[in-house]
Amino acid sequence: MHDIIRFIHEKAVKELIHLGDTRIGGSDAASRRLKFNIPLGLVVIDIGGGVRVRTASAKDISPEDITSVPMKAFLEGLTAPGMWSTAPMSVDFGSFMSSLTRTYSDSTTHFSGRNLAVLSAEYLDLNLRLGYHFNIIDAYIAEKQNDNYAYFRFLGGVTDVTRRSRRARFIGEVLERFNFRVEIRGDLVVGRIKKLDPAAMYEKEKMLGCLVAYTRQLDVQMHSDENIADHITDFFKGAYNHDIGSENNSITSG
Amino acid sequence: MTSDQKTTVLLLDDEPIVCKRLKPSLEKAGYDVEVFTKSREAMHRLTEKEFDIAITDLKMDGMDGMAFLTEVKKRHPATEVIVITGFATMETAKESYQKGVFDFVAKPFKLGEILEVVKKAEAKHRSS
Repeated sequence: MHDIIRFIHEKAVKELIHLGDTRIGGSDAASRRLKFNIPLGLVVIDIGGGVRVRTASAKDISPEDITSVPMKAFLEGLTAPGMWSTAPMSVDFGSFMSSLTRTYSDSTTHFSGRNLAVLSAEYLDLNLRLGYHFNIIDAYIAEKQNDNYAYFRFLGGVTDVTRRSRRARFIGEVLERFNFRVEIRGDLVVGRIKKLDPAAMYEKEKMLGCLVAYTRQLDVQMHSDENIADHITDFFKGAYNHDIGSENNSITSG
Repeated sequence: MTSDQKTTVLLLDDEPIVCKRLKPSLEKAGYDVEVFTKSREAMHRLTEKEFDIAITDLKMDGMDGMAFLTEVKKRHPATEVIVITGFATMETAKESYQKGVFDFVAKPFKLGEILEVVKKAEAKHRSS
């Protein structure tokens, strides 16, 4: 059953991503690329009030065009100072070999660099593949407090399972400090929160943006359990520190 | 501080129920606890005594937890401060860490969660 659902999801995402490429005379829901200084390769599909369309034929949009509340919050966090590192990250030989033996389906490889956000004024469904890991965010933020929720899912990484699990524990620790209900299994993290007022939900979503940015290459740096606490401090200080757990690096990787 | 001395804890929260529930749990765990529901009174006590650990709510009437954290670290840099809050934001977290907070715990919390953080703060205080 899980495989069937996953297959359907993959096919649906593929169809949505190519919506703008394959439909002639597209509507407001047509896919557009989000262009900004972080290379997400993100395709945005507006299903109602999530994007301010300057011209119907425009294929690219900027963050300023986003009117979706959860997406605005996410981008605010993603671009917060000290979160998204642009420095090259190096990995040790073991992690390099680990990445070589990791397999992905053909369809996943095909979508490399094409991520998807389906959004409306109050809603966001975000599928992000960044390198060797996946982020999924599903969120709704509106005035009616009881309808509000955020779901966050994180899986994968380039390194061995021990370091990927340390990153997962780091993510869990951060989420718990923001009142998320957290489940961790190996390198899989699921966080859920619901029924908060719009302002509080906005802050949670912004934190998720920070988390996605900060954790992008973090598994490489998780050489010991102590690194988890060190990175929690640096994350909240808004200061990505490349020196934490930087020993044993020899092969440069993205 | 010798190892047989009890670790001293100052607890500040303007919700009396939090103090009422947390104090006996901390005492049962072996801590010497003083509780305050008014930040002004807690501040006055700081002029008389240096605590090993301070636990403070963030959102309070009068002096808020952030200002209290600032004052504690200014007067007694060795005191480990734990912030408890139901309104965590990246901005308040950043400010807390820049001011030297040991950690923060989201409200509502389980007693076991806060005791675990207090235990870590105690270990850090004793090792410093």
